[in-house]
Amino acid sequence: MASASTATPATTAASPAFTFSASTFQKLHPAEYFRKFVSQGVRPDGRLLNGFRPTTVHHGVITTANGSAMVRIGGTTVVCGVKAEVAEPRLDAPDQGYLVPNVDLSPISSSAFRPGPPSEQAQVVSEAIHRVLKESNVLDLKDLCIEEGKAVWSLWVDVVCVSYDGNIYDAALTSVMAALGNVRIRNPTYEEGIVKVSGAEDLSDDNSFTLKLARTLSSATFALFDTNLVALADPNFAEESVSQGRITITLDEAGQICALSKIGAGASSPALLRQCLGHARERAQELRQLMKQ
Amino acid sequence: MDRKRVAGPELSVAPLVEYPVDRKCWIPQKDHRHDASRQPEDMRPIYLKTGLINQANGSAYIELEKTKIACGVYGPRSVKRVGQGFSGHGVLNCEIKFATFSCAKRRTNVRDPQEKNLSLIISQALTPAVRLDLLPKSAIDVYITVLESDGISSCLSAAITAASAALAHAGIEMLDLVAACSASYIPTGPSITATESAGSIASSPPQIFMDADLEEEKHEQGSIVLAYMPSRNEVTHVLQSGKAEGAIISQSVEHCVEACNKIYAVMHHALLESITENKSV
Amino acid sequence: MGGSSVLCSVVGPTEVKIRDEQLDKATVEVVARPLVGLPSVKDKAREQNIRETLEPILLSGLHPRTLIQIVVQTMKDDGCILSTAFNATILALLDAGIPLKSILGSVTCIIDAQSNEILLDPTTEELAQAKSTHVFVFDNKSSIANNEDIMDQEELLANVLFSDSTGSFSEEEYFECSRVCFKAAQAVHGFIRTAVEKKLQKEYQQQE
Repeated sequence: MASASTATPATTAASPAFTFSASTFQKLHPAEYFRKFVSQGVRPDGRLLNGFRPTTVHHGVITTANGSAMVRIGGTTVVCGVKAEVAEPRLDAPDQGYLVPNVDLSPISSSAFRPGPPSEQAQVVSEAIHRVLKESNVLDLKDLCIEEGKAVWSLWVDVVCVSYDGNIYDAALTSVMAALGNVRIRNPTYEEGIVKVSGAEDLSDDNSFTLKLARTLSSATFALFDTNLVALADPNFAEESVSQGRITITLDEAGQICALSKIGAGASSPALLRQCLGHARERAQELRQLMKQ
Repeated sequence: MDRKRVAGPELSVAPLVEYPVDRKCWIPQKDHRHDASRQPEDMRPIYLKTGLINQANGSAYIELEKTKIACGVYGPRSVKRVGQGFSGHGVLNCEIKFATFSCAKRRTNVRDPQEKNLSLIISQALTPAVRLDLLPKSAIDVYITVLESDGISSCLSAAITAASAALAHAGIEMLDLVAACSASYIPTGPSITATESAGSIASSPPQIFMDADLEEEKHEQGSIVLAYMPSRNEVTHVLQSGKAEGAIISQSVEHCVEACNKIYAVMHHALLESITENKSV
Repeated sequence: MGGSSVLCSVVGPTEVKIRDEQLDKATVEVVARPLVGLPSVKDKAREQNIRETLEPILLSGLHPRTLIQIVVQTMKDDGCILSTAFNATILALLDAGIPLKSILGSVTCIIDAQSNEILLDPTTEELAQAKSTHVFVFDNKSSIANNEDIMDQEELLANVLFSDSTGSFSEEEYFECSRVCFKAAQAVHGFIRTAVEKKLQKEYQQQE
């Protein structure tokens, strides 16, 4: 990476007593190493403080899923697949389907994740996505009804993290929105407790339907670093591990805020929040372009 | 019920698919494959790339048309477990996981017996190639995620190939790369369509289709997965299932060895490419 | 708070599992338990919210290699459980005598879907009618500065420690909510102060 050229300010800024290399310094004092960069207005990977990493979105990568997308944000790669299955509706909502998002931080993606049941981080990200989809009414669950009180569609939205390098929420939410956007479900027929779909080879508007999404969400995450509260856009893994808190802003295409959370790292001023909101709006614009196939 | 995931309905099933009457089903015939452009001995084109997971010590991604598999290698790390005593040999842990959306039917998040079984086969296929005697008191973790599967046998062989490339990418000492390939014995000719009696199927010898996809696998009467170290000309694992005559098996082993040599070239190329890429950065 | 109540217990500093031990500071563990049933992902999210907000406030450097365990049990649920839990936690921490940098106060508000008005401390019924929900936590450092009464600068001083909002709202609505909640948080700080004073008085009387 570019660390060889950008690492020079760190070593020269450090007192002459340091005779070891920049990479040793990073391993011994990750926070201090980082502080040296931030004080100069750049980050170890060469980005500016408000710079996002290059992002790509691929639609429909998995043919066995009803809808799918692969999103890469820098070194973070997630794949989201949507599977539609038939289930009985809840008693208190007989005409509503299910939308079940889950994020799997599989051990393949980072040494920080162990195999076994989902970690706290995975649960918190899953819940955050579940809540933002529910609270901002992205999808009318009544659209998923097959026969009231008898059968509804259950959309299993599973996100698998293939490669982890920070900022999982943004990557996961982008992939979920992109995957929901290309979901295609065969038209069901309900007969005496059995739901049938036609097995015709080609899918067209006559024999299948797509989802009507009320809004497209896009999010931006900032890591809060140090007590002077520097906000770093789109933190990578190393930045996440030295940061103390984060701000996550989720916007829809009309510019309305759908979710905003600030957690950890002491008190932050409204001015900082406004600044982040500004960057988040720019980022949302960029992500919407990418999501448009 | 799983309390560590966002809860969905307790039970959900795939809808019943009603095929139109005039649906054209693929019927195995001599020299006629599901993918019409392929000959019986042809494999699907392989895309292999190493080094896509930057947190991992080594990683590989393999794609055979629809089949998509990612593999990450972590280690060698020290074994923390106390009480097992000193071991002069390292341990190779392999774990394969199918993504819930990877197959036609939705898979569960919990590790099922099939995944456990495949994990065991992969570690058996790779262990002979890795110089574990050079890594005392340590363990290597190989994690494999299947993003999309198109036939179990071909999925298994692709997983072994990817895992071996990832191990090499991690710089772990090995005797040789392990390339793996699958073949299916598919009864062809009129016997299968005419009657279903066992005698008529056996009457004509099945044909060997290399690297069969899911549709072809549905018609197979047996299959073989072969893991092979090309430059040492040694086989590390053979998995033969189903009914087949000895002659067919030895013939398919030969076919697989030939195919493994081709896969080896692809692996070689992918690894060299990742080195040159690293140099240029 | 109103119809909601949360019981919070603080244990610590106590012995820590070797796995979780941190050499330079205390490990903070939060366990959130729901009203009924077993903990689910929602409670895990709440645990993380409380823990990451408290970590910078606790002077955990004074108790290295120890554990501070906080258990938050919902007793009655009538909206704004998270705010109630925050306030219960800070009272419990004060009671336990764990050294803190500052005191926090938490307030929830909603924007009503019909009237577009900001309602503080909503009940479950009101929450169902909300266009958006906002939870704020403020510390008492910024409120002391505010007592010097410079109303124009109030917004500048309303430094938010934790904020979590969902629904659909504009930037202006958000900052308006922040202002309203900040004022309400002063009342919460006042309440915490009187609660602690009362308790100390009682203890003195018992000693005499």
